Amino acid sequence: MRIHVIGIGDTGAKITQEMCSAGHTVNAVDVWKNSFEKLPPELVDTKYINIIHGDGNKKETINLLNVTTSDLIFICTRNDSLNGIIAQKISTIHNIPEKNITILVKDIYIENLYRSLGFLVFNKIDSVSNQIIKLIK
Amino acid sequence: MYIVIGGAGNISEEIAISLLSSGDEVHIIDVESTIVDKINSNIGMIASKGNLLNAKDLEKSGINRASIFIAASDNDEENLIACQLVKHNFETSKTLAIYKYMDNYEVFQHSGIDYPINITELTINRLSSIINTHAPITLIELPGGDKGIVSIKVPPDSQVLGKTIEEIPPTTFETKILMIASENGEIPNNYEEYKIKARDELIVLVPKGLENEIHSTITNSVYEK
Repeated sequence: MRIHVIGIGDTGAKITQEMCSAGHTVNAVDVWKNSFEKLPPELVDTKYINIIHGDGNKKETINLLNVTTSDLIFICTRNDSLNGIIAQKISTIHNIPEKNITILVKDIYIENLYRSLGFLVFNKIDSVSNQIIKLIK
Repeated sequence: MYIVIGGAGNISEEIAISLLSSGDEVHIIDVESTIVDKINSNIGMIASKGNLLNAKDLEKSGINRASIFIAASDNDEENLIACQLVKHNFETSKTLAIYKYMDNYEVFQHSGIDYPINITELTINRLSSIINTHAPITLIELPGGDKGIVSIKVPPDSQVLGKTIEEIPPTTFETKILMIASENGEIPNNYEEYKIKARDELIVLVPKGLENEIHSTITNSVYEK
């Protein structure tokens, strides 16, 4: 599969690594060059990881990504609203079905909003607390 | 009307002052206590601490009884998501979002927000109405389709400067200058004697297809021969 990950923070880097080890090709996008240091250097610029340095919230960058050929797009900057605008920009301008886009969120109300718009949503805080609850029980 | 403004951006305070003076009830929420305090000491106790992206803070601001929610932080994405959040969770009748970047144009247009307002677009439109002397602007097409009314701005080096309407060579007998408005909006009483000045706006009745002829008559430079 061809996968795009926009926002290479800790979560974005982890998703990129996991996808690569499952044999998929990942295009990793971030506005900060240093972010790419989180990725395994031996995989960068191979058939596994292609890095794209640019602002994922700019049409100019999105146009470079070739998102129409993407099977999955993960948007995981650390900012809920930034993730939301990027997701809507990609789906509006490039006609990408919302269900192909997964957004990382922290706030539960914003999570419900993005779900209502048709996007897939991943709530970091929810999954951490679920893990903790599991451990306690 | 009760109006909630989310985010104390550059123009939030001005918006609030203007709404208050027209008798509306206004409440501003912002995450920064210092900004909240500043607004409260400047224009009265209308601001409280709260995040425009937090549904609970919005609820506390009385968003459910608001007629309009205005998202006016300095951040485009916050304003987009805040309005969508309000639409999704509350009974507020209308949402208005202010945004800066043209890059976000399509997203705001498709966002479901009732009034997306692009500050850059407003500025560009205003600017081109001030400086554009190049194109005749069609104001009305008259019934029948063979005539229209256009507006032409007189450039500073025009060959018609200082001339009266009578002295402008007519392109056809049907072309007629109907009205003149000067740069500051004044409309002269006696057209016959009025001498045309730079940046005057001429409102002209013109047969279809001849707009460019009258336009060049008015905009050709005095230096061109």
